[in-house]
Amino acid sequence: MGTVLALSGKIASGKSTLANEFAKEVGWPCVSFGDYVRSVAKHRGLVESRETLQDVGDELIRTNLESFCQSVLHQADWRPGQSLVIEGIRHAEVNILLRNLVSPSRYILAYLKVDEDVRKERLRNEGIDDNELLHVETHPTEEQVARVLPHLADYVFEGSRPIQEILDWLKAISADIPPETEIPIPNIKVTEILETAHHLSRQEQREIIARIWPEGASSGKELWRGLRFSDRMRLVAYGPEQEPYLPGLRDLLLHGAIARIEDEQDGNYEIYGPDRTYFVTMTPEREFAGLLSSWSPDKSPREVRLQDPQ
Amino acid sequence: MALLRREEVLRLLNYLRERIDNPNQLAQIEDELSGEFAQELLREPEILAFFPELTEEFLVSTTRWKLRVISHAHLRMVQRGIKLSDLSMLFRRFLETSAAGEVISVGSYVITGRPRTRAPRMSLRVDVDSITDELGHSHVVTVYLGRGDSENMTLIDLN
Repeated sequence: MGTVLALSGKIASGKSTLANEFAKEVGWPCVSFGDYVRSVAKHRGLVESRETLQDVGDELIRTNLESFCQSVLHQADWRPGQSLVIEGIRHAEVNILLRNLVSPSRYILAYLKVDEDVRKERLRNEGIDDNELLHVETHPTEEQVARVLPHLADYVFEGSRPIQEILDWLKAISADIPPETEIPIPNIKVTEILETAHHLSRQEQREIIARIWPEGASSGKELWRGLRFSDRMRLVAYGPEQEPYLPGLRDLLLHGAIARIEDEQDGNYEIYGPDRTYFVTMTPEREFAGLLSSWSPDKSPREVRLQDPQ
Repeated sequence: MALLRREEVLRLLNYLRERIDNPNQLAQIEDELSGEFAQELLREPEILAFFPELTEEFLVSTTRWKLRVISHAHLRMVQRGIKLSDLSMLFRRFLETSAAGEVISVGSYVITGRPRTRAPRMSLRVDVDSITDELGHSHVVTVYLGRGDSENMTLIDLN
Protein backbone atom coordinates (compact mmCIF):
# COMPACT_ATOMS: atom_id res chain seq x y z
CA MET A 1 0.00 0.00 0.00
CA GLY A 2 1.32 3.45 -0.92
CA THR A 3 2.09 6.36 1.34
CA VAL A 4 0.99 9.93 0.83
CA LEU A 5 3.37 12.37 2.43
CA ALA A 6 1.83 15.81 2.92
CA LEU A 7 4.07 18.72 3.86
CA SER A 8 3.09 21.86 5.69
CA GLY A 9 5.00 24.81 7.04
CA LYS A 10 5.11 28.58 7.08
CA ILE A 11 6.17 30.68 4.10
CA ALA A 12 9.87 30.17 3.33
CA SER A 13 10.17 27.14 5.54
CA GLY A 14 11.65 25.24 2.60
CA LYS A 15 8.77 22.84 2.06
CA SER A 16 8.67 23.19 -1.74
CA THR A 17 12.37 22.47 -2.10
CA LEU A 18 12.12 19.57 0.30
CA ALA A 19 9.00 18.13 -1.41
CA ASN A 20 10.64 18.21 -4.85
CA GLU A 21 13.93 16.76 -3.59
CA PHE A 22 12.18 14.02 -1.69
CA ALA A 23 9.92 13.13 -4.64
CA LYS A 24 12.97 12.95 -6.92
CA GLU A 25 14.88 10.69 -4.54
CA VAL A 26 12.06 8.21 -3.95
CA GLY A 27 10.57 8.47 -7.45
CA TRP A 28 7.09 9.51 -6.30
CA PRO A 29 4.95 12.07 -8.13
CA CYS A 30 4.68 15.45 -6.42
CA VAL A 31 1.75 17.88 -6.43
CA SER A 32 1.50 21.32 -4.91
CA PHE A 33 -1.41 23.39 -3.66
CA GLY A 34 0.59 26.52 -4.48
CA ASP A 35 1.22 25.42 -8.06
CA TYR A 36 -2.44 24.62 -8.62
CA VAL A 37 -3.58 27.99 -7.21
CA ARG A 38 -0.96 29.70 -9.39
CA SER A 39 -2.38 27.95 -12.48
CA VAL A 40 -5.92 29.03 -11.59
CA ALA A 41 -4.77 32.65 -11.12
CA LYS A 42 -2.94 32.55 -14.46
CA HIS A 43 -5.99 31.08 -16.17
CA ARG A 44 -8.07 33.98 -14.80
CA GLY A 45 -5.51 36.48 -16.04
CA LEU A 46 -4.63 37.72 -12.56
CA VAL A 47 -1.33 39.29 -11.58
CA GLU A 48 0.75 36.76 -9.71
CA SER A 49 1.44 38.13 -6.23
CA ARG A 50 1.35 36.39 -2.86
CA GLU A 51 -1.76 38.34 -1.92
CA THR A 52 -3.62 37.43 -5.13
CA LEU A 53 -2.67 33.79 -4.75
CA GLN A 54 -3.82 33.82 -1.13
CA ASP A 55 -7.18 35.30 -2.16
CA VAL A 56 -7.67 32.73 -4.92
CA GLY A 57 -6.68 29.90 -2.56
CA ASP A 58 -9.07 31.18 0.09
CA GLU A 59 -11.91 31.33 -2.44
CA LEU A 60 -11.23 27.78 -3.66
CA ILE A 61 -11.27 26.51 -0.07
CA ARG A 62 -14.56 28.24 0.70
CA THR A 63 -16.45 27.49 -2.50
CA ASN A 64 -15.67 23.87 -3.30
CA LEU A 65 -13.17 22.24 -1.01
CA GLU A 66 -13.43 18.71 -2.37
CA SER A 67 -13.17 19.78 -6.00
CA PHE A 68 -10.14 21.91 -5.09
CA CYS A 69 -8.38 18.99 -3.39
CA GLN A 70 -9.25 16.59 -6.23
CA SER A 71 -7.84 19.06 -8.76
CA VAL A 72 -4.59 19.31 -6.81
CA LEU A 73 -4.33 15.51 -6.70
CA HIS A 74 -4.98 15.33 -10.44
CA GLN A 75 -1.89 17.42 -11.15
CA ALA A 76 -0.09 14.09 -11.13
CA ASP A 77 -1.05 10.82 -12.77
CA TRP A 78 -1.90 9.35 -9.40
CA ARG A 79 -4.47 6.78 -8.22
CA PRO A 80 -5.65 6.03 -4.64
CA GLY A 81 -3.39 3.41 -3.13
CA GLN A 82 -0.27 4.81 -4.79
CA SER A 83 2.43 6.95 -3.18
CA LEU A 84 2.50 10.71 -3.57
CA VAL A 85 4.02 13.88 -2.15
CA ILE A 86 1.65 16.81 -1.52
CA GLU A 87 3.17 20.16 -0.75
CA GLY A 88 1.54 23.18 0.87
CA ILE A 89 -1.17 22.01 3.30
CA ARG A 90 -2.52 25.18 4.90
CA HIS A 91 -5.91 24.21 6.36
CA ALA A 92 -7.14 21.66 8.87
CA GLU A 93 -10.16 20.92 6.71
CA VAL A 94 -7.91 20.14 3.73
CA ASN A 95 -5.90 17.79 5.91
CA ILE A 96 -9.04 16.00 7.09
CA LEU A 97 -10.42 15.66 3.57
CA LEU A 98 -7.14 14.48 2.06
CA ARG A 99 -6.87 11.67 4.60
CA ASN A 100 -10.13 10.33 3.21
CA LEU A 101 -9.48 11.11 -0.45
CA VAL A 102 -6.15 9.29 -0.58
CA SER A 103 -7.41 6.20 1.20
CA PRO A 104 -6.34 3.36 1.09
CA SER A 105 -2.91 5.00 0.87
CA ARG A 106 -1.39 5.78 4.25
CA TYR A 107 -1.49 9.52 4.90
CA ILE A 108 1.21 11.34 6.86
CA LEU A 109 1.27 15.04 7.58
CA ALA A 110 4.77 16.34 8.27
CA TYR A 111 5.25 19.90 9.45
CA LEU A 112 8.44 21.79 8.74
CA LYS A 113 9.36 24.14 11.58
CA VAL A 114 12.04 26.69 10.87
CA ASP A 115 13.66 29.22 13.16
CA GLU A 116 12.06 32.66 12.59
CA ASP A 117 15.40 34.38 11.94
CA VAL A 118 16.35 31.83 9.30
CA ARG A 119 12.99 32.24 7.62
CA LYS A 120 13.15 36.03 7.61
CA GLU A 121 16.64 35.89 6.19
CA ARG A 122 15.43 33.68 3.35
CA LEU A 123 12.56 36.08 2.64
CA ARG A 124 14.82 39.12 2.68
CA ASN A 125 16.91 37.39 0.03
CA GLU A 126 13.69 37.15 -2.02
CA GLY A 127 13.06 40.85 -1.50
CA ILE A 128 10.30 40.52 1.12
CA ASP A 129 10.76 42.66 4.22
CA ASP A 130 9.37 42.08 7.73
CA ASN A 131 6.36 44.39 7.23
CA GLU A 132 5.32 42.62 4.06
CA LEU A 133 5.80 39.25 5.75
CA LEU A 134 3.53 40.33 8.60
CA HIS A 135 0.90 41.37 6.08
CA VAL A 136 1.13 38.08 4.18
CA GLU A 137 1.06 35.92 7.30
CA THR A 138 -2.03 37.52 8.79
CA HIS A 139 -4.05 36.48 5.73
CA PRO A 140 -6.63 33.82 6.72
CA THR A 141 -4.92 31.33 4.41
CA GLU A 142 -1.77 31.38 6.53
CA GLU A 143 -3.41 31.63 9.95
CA GLN A 144 -3.91 27.91 10.45
CA VAL A 145 -0.44 27.10 9.21
CA ALA A 146 1.02 28.67 12.32
CA ARG A 147 -1.65 27.95 14.89
CA VAL A 148 -3.36 24.67 14.03
CA LEU A 149 -1.39 22.51 11.62
CA PRO A 150 1.67 21.92 13.86
CA HIS A 151 -0.73 20.25 16.28
CA LEU A 152 -2.38 18.14 13.61
CA ALA A 153 0.90 16.96 12.12
CA ASP A 154 1.95 13.36 12.57
CA TYR A 155 5.53 14.60 12.66
CA VAL A 156 7.02 18.03 13.29
CA PHE A 157 10.63 18.38 12.30
CA GLU A 158 13.31 21.00 12.46
CA GLY A 159 13.63 22.56 9.03
CA SER A 160 16.95 24.26 9.72
CA ARG A 161 18.76 20.92 9.66
CA PRO A 162 20.76 19.94 6.56
CA ILE A 163 18.40 18.93 3.76
CA GLN A 164 19.93 15.46 3.34
CA GLU A 165 19.31 14.76 7.02
CA ILE A 166 15.63 15.73 6.66
CA LEU A 167 15.30 13.71 3.47
CA ASP A 168 16.70 10.60 5.18
CA TRP A 169 14.33 11.13 8.05
CA LEU A 170 11.34 11.53 5.72
CA LYS A 171 12.32 8.36 3.89
CA ALA A 172 12.40 6.49 7.19
CA ILE A 173 8.96 7.59 8.35
CA SER A 174 7.46 7.02 4.91
CA ALA A 175 8.77 3.50 4.80
CA ASP A 176 7.71 2.40 8.25
CA ILE A 177 5.70 4.52 10.67
CA PRO A 178 6.04 3.31 14.21
CA PRO A 179 2.53 2.55 15.55
CA GLU A 180 1.26 5.32 17.72
CA THR A 181 -1.11 4.48 20.51
CA GLU A 182 -1.30 7.81 22.24
CA ILE A 183 -1.67 11.30 20.90
CA PRO A 184 1.30 13.49 21.80
CA ILE A 185 0.47 16.18 24.31
CA PRO A 186 1.81 19.48 23.07
CA ASN A 187 1.81 22.44 25.39
CA ILE A 188 -0.85 24.54 23.70
CA LYS A 189 -3.96 26.54 24.47
CA VAL A 190 -7.05 24.64 23.35
CA THR A 191 -9.15 27.79 23.31
CA GLU A 192 -6.68 29.45 20.96
CA ILE A 193 -6.86 26.54 18.56
CA LEU A 194 -10.65 26.53 18.58
CA GLU A 195 -10.74 30.24 18.02
CA THR A 196 -8.58 29.79 14.94
CA ALA A 197 -10.74 26.91 13.75
CA HIS A 198 -14.03 28.66 14.49
CA HIS A 199 -15.14 28.52 10.86
CA LEU A 200 -14.88 24.73 10.77
CA SER A 201 -17.78 22.39 11.28
CA ARG A 202 -18.28 20.82 14.72
CA GLN A 203 -17.08 17.53 13.32
CA GLU A 204 -13.91 19.08 12.00
CA GLN A 205 -13.33 20.85 15.28
CA ARG A 206 -13.78 17.57 17.10
CA GLU A 207 -11.10 16.00 14.97
CA ILE A 208 -8.77 18.83 15.79
CA ILE A 209 -9.54 18.58 19.49
CA ALA A 210 -8.98 14.85 19.32
CA ARG A 211 -5.46 15.40 18.18
CA ILE A 212 -4.55 18.03 20.72
CA TRP A 213 -6.54 17.38 23.84
CA PRO A 214 -4.35 16.19 26.69
CA GLU A 215 -4.92 12.64 27.73
CA GLY A 216 -7.46 12.51 30.52
CA ALA A 217 -8.22 16.21 30.45
CA SER A 218 -11.28 17.15 32.40
CA SER A 219 -13.78 19.85 31.69
CA GLY A 220 -16.18 20.43 34.55
CA LYS A 221 -17.01 16.97 35.78
CA GLU A 222 -16.46 15.31 32.42
CA LEU A 223 -13.42 13.39 31.43
CA TRP A 224 -12.37 13.67 27.83
CA ARG A 225 -9.66 11.82 26.08
CA GLY A 226 -7.90 11.91 22.74
CA LEU A 227 -7.84 8.38 21.40
CA ARG A 228 -5.72 6.78 18.81
CA PHE A 229 -5.18 3.08 18.22
CA SER A 230 -2.42 1.32 16.36
CA ASP A 231 -3.37 -0.57 13.20
CA ARG A 232 -2.96 -3.79 15.16
CA MET A 233 -6.15 -3.13 17.11
CA ARG A 234 -8.97 -5.64 17.27
CA LEU A 235 -12.44 -4.30 16.72
CA VAL A 236 -15.69 -6.23 17.06
CA ALA A 237 -19.38 -5.40 16.97
CA TYR A 238 -21.40 -6.83 19.87
CA GLY A 239 -24.51 -6.99 17.74
CA PRO A 240 -25.06 -7.71 14.02
CA GLU A 241 -26.84 -4.37 13.52
CA GLN A 242 -23.62 -2.53 14.43
CA GLU A 243 -21.36 -4.39 11.98
CA PRO A 244 -21.88 -1.91 9.10
CA TYR A 245 -20.41 0.82 11.32
CA LEU A 246 -17.13 -0.96 12.12
CA PRO A 247 -15.14 0.48 9.16
CA GLY A 248 -16.07 4.03 10.18
CA LEU A 249 -15.04 3.40 13.78
CA ARG A 250 -11.80 1.73 12.69
CA ASP A 251 -10.94 4.73 10.54
CA LEU A 252 -11.65 7.08 13.42
CA LEU A 253 -9.56 5.15 15.93
CA LEU A 254 -6.62 4.99 13.54
CA HIS A 255 -6.65 8.68 12.72
CA GLY A 256 -7.54 10.08 16.11
CA ALA A 257 -10.81 10.85 17.80
CA ILE A 258 -12.14 12.55 20.84
CA ALA A 259 -13.96 10.46 23.38
CA ARG A 260 -15.93 11.07 26.54
CA ILE A 261 -15.28 8.60 29.29
CA GLU A 262 -18.51 7.20 30.59
CA ASP A 263 -17.24 4.52 32.92
CA GLU A 264 -13.53 4.10 33.30
CA GLN A 265 -13.81 0.81 35.20
CA ASP A 266 -15.89 -0.79 32.45
CA GLY A 267 -13.94 0.99 29.72
CA ASN A 268 -17.09 2.56 28.27
CA TYR A 269 -16.55 5.54 25.99
CA GLU A 270 -18.52 7.68 23.60
CA ILE A 271 -16.35 8.34 20.57
CA TYR A 272 -17.23 11.26 18.33
CA GLY A 273 -16.85 10.88 14.58
CA PRO A 274 -17.88 13.23 11.80
CA ASP A 275 -20.96 11.25 10.83
CA ARG A 276 -21.57 9.01 13.80
CA THR A 277 -21.07 8.72 17.54
CA TYR A 278 -19.98 5.32 18.79
CA PHE A 279 -20.59 3.80 22.23
CA VAL A 280 -17.80 1.31 22.81
CA THR A 281 -16.13 -0.69 25.51
CA MET A 282 -12.37 -0.83 25.24
CA THR A 283 -9.41 -2.26 27.05
CA PRO A 284 -7.13 0.07 28.99
CA GLU A 285 -4.22 -0.87 26.74
CA ARG A 286 -6.24 0.27 23.68
CA GLU A 287 -5.68 -2.80 21.60
CA PHE A 288 -9.32 -3.91 21.61
CA ALA A 289 -12.66 -2.14 21.24
CA GLY A 290 -16.16 -3.62 21.22
CA LEU A 291 -18.86 -1.57 19.50
CA LEU A 292 -22.06 -1.60 21.54
CA SER A 293 -24.19 1.06 19.90
CA SER A 294 -23.93 4.05 17.59
CA TRP A 295 -26.04 6.91 16.34
CA SER A 296 -25.87 9.95 14.07
CA PRO A 297 -24.86 13.15 15.91
CA ASP A 298 -28.25 14.76 15.38
CA LYS A 299 -29.94 11.83 17.16
CA SER A 300 -27.98 11.70 20.40
CA PRO A 301 -29.49 9.62 23.20
CA ARG A 302 -32.12 11.37 25.26
CA GLU A 303 -31.17 11.52 28.92
CA VAL A 304 -33.98 10.55 31.25
CA ARG A 305 -33.53 10.80 35.00
CA LEU A 306 -36.25 9.01 36.95
CA GLN A 307 -37.43 10.13 40.35
CA ASP A 308 -36.89 7.67 43.18
CA PRO A 309 -39.85 5.29 43.64
CA GLN A 310 -42.09 6.01 46.62
CA MET B 1 -4.40 -4.19 32.79
CA ALA B 2 -7.35 -3.96 35.15
CA LEU B 3 -8.34 -6.01 38.14
CA LEU B 4 -11.86 -6.95 39.14
CA ARG B 5 -13.20 -6.47 42.65
CA ARG B 6 -13.35 -9.64 44.74
CA GLU B 7 -17.15 -9.67 44.88
CA GLU B 8 -17.31 -9.29 41.10
CA VAL B 9 -15.02 -12.30 40.62
CA LEU B 10 -17.17 -14.36 43.01
CA ARG B 11 -20.42 -13.45 41.25
CA LEU B 12 -18.98 -14.34 37.86
CA LEU B 13 -17.54 -17.62 39.12
CA ASN B 14 -20.80 -18.63 40.79
CA TYR B 15 -22.56 -18.05 37.49
CA LEU B 16 -19.94 -19.85 35.40
CA ARG B 17 -19.75 -22.90 37.71
CA GLU B 18 -23.30 -23.76 36.72
CA ARG B 19 -22.45 -23.62 33.03
CA ILE B 20 -18.97 -25.04 32.67
CA ASP B 21 -18.53 -28.77 33.30
CA ASN B 22 -14.84 -28.97 32.49
CA PRO B 23 -12.94 -28.34 35.78
CA ASN B 24 -9.72 -27.43 33.96
CA GLN B 25 -11.47 -24.81 31.88
CA LEU B 26 -13.17 -23.40 34.96
CA ALA B 27 -9.88 -23.26 36.87
CA GLN B 28 -8.24 -21.42 34.01
CA ILE B 29 -11.04 -18.86 33.85
CA GLU B 30 -10.89 -18.44 37.62
CA ASP B 31 -7.18 -17.67 37.36
CA GLU B 32 -7.75 -15.17 34.61
CA LEU B 33 -10.65 -13.47 36.40
CA SER B 34 -8.45 -13.00 39.45
CA GLY B 35 -5.54 -11.73 37.39
CA GLU B 36 -4.51 -8.36 36.09
CA PHE B 37 -6.05 -8.91 32.65
CA ALA B 38 -9.53 -9.70 33.95
CA GLN B 39 -11.18 -6.70 32.29
CA GLU B 40 -9.67 -7.74 28.98
CA LEU B 41 -11.05 -11.26 29.42
CA LEU B 42 -14.57 -9.94 29.96
CA ARG B 43 -14.61 -8.50 26.42
CA GLU B 44 -13.55 -11.70 24.70
CA PRO B 45 -16.11 -13.48 22.51
CA GLU B 46 -15.16 -16.83 24.15
CA ILE B 47 -16.25 -15.64 27.58
CA LEU B 48 -19.26 -13.74 26.22
CA ALA B 49 -20.48 -17.03 24.75
CA PHE B 50 -21.34 -18.13 28.32
CA PHE B 51 -23.65 -15.13 28.68
CA PRO B 52 -26.33 -15.58 26.04
CA GLU B 53 -28.57 -12.75 24.97
CA LEU B 54 -31.55 -12.38 27.31
CA THR B 55 -35.00 -11.36 26.24
CA GLU B 56 -38.07 -10.34 28.14
CA GLU B 57 -41.44 -9.38 26.75
CA PHE B 58 -44.22 -7.49 28.45
CA LEU B 59 -47.25 -5.37 27.69
CA VAL B 60 -47.68 -1.78 28.76
CA SER B 61 -51.08 -0.44 27.87
CA THR B 62 -51.59 -1.71 24.31
CA THR B 63 -47.93 -1.79 23.38
CA ARG B 64 -45.85 -4.95 23.44
CA TRP B 65 -42.21 -4.42 24.42
CA LYS B 66 -39.41 -6.86 23.81
CA LEU B 67 -36.26 -6.19 25.78
CA ARG B 68 -33.13 -7.63 24.22
CA VAL B 69 -30.19 -7.67 26.64
CA ILE B 70 -27.02 -8.30 24.61
CA SER B 71 -24.35 -10.74 25.84
CA HIS B 72 -22.02 -8.01 27.01
CA ALA B 73 -24.77 -6.40 29.11
CA HIS B 74 -25.74 -9.82 30.49
CA LEU B 75 -22.17 -10.33 31.64
CA ARG B 76 -22.06 -6.89 33.27
CA MET B 77 -25.35 -7.66 35.04
CA VAL B 78 -23.87 -10.82 36.54
CA GLN B 79 -20.66 -8.99 37.42
CA ARG B 80 -22.54 -6.26 39.27
CA GLY B 81 -25.23 -8.47 40.74
CA ILE B 82 -28.08 -6.86 38.79
CA LYS B 83 -31.17 -8.98 38.19
CA LEU B 84 -33.08 -9.02 34.93
CA SER B 85 -36.21 -8.15 36.91
CA ASP B 86 -34.54 -4.94 38.18
CA LEU B 87 -33.46 -3.97 34.72
CA SER B 88 -36.91 -4.64 33.37
CA MET B 89 -38.48 -2.71 36.25
CA LEU B 90 -36.36 0.35 35.58
CA PHE B 91 -37.36 0.27 31.94
CA ARG B 92 -41.04 -0.04 32.86
CA ARG B 93 -40.69 2.94 35.19
CA PHE B 94 -39.22 4.86 32.24
CA LEU B 95 -42.25 3.95 30.12
CA GLU B 96 -44.63 5.03 32.86
CA THR B 97 -42.79 8.32 33.32
CA SER B 98 -42.88 8.95 29.59
CA ALA B 99 -46.68 8.93 29.71
CA ALA B 100 -48.17 5.47 29.88
CA GLY B 101 -49.26 4.11 26.57
CA GLU B 102 -47.54 6.76 24.51
CA VAL B 103 -45.35 5.29 21.80
CA ILE B 104 -41.71 6.03 22.49
CA SER B 105 -39.95 7.05 19.29
CA VAL B 106 -37.20 4.98 17.74
CA GLY B 107 -33.79 6.13 18.97
CA SER B 108 -31.35 5.95 21.88
CA TYR B 109 -32.03 6.76 25.53
CA VAL B 110 -29.99 6.87 28.70
CA ILE B 111 -32.21 6.06 31.66
CA THR B 112 -30.98 6.68 35.19
CA GLY B 113 -32.82 5.82 38.36
CA ARG B 114 -33.58 3.23 41.02
CA PRO B 115 -35.68 0.24 39.96
CA ARG B 116 -37.03 -0.17 43.50
CA THR B 117 -36.99 1.81 46.72
CA ARG B 118 -33.52 1.72 48.28
CA ALA B 119 -32.13 -0.26 45.34
CA PRO B 120 -28.81 1.12 44.05
CA ARG B 121 -29.09 3.74 41.36
CA MET B 122 -28.23 2.40 37.92
CA SER B 123 -28.22 3.59 34.39
CA LEU B 124 -29.39 1.84 31.27
CA ARG B 125 -28.59 2.69 27.72
CA VAL B 126 -31.27 1.47 25.41
CA ASP B 127 -31.78 1.56 21.67
CA VAL B 128 -35.42 1.42 20.66
CA ASP B 129 -34.66 -0.39 17.45
CA SER B 130 -37.82 -1.00 15.54
CA ILE B 131 -41.54 -1.04 15.53
CA THR B 132 -42.22 -4.58 14.47
CA ASP B 133 -45.92 -4.99 13.80
CA GLU B 134 -48.07 -3.37 11.20
CA LEU B 135 -50.01 -1.41 13.80
CA GLY B 136 -46.80 0.02 15.25
CA HIS B 137 -47.65 -1.38 18.64
CA SER B 138 -44.54 -3.40 19.34
CA HIS B 139 -40.98 -2.29 20.08
CA VAL B 140 -37.69 -4.15 20.22
CA VAL B 141 -35.35 -2.52 22.70
CA THR B 142 -31.66 -3.37 22.86
CA VAL B 143 -30.19 -2.86 26.30
CA TYR B 144 -26.63 -2.02 27.27
CA LEU B 145 -25.48 -1.23 30.75
CA GLY B 146 -24.31 2.32 31.12
CA ARG B 147 -22.53 3.98 33.96
CA GLY B 148 -23.19 2.67 37.42
CA ASP B 149 -23.43 6.04 39.06
CA SER B 150 -24.35 9.10 37.10
CA GLU B 151 -24.81 11.40 40.10
CA ASN B 152 -21.63 13.26 39.30
CA MET B 153 -22.10 13.45 35.61
CA THR B 154 -22.58 16.65 33.70
CA LEU B 155 -23.06 16.52 29.99
CA ILE B 156 -21.08 18.86 27.82
CA ASP B 157 -22.98 19.59 24.67
CA LEU B 158 -20.58 20.30 21.83
CA ASN B 159 -23.48 21.23 19.62
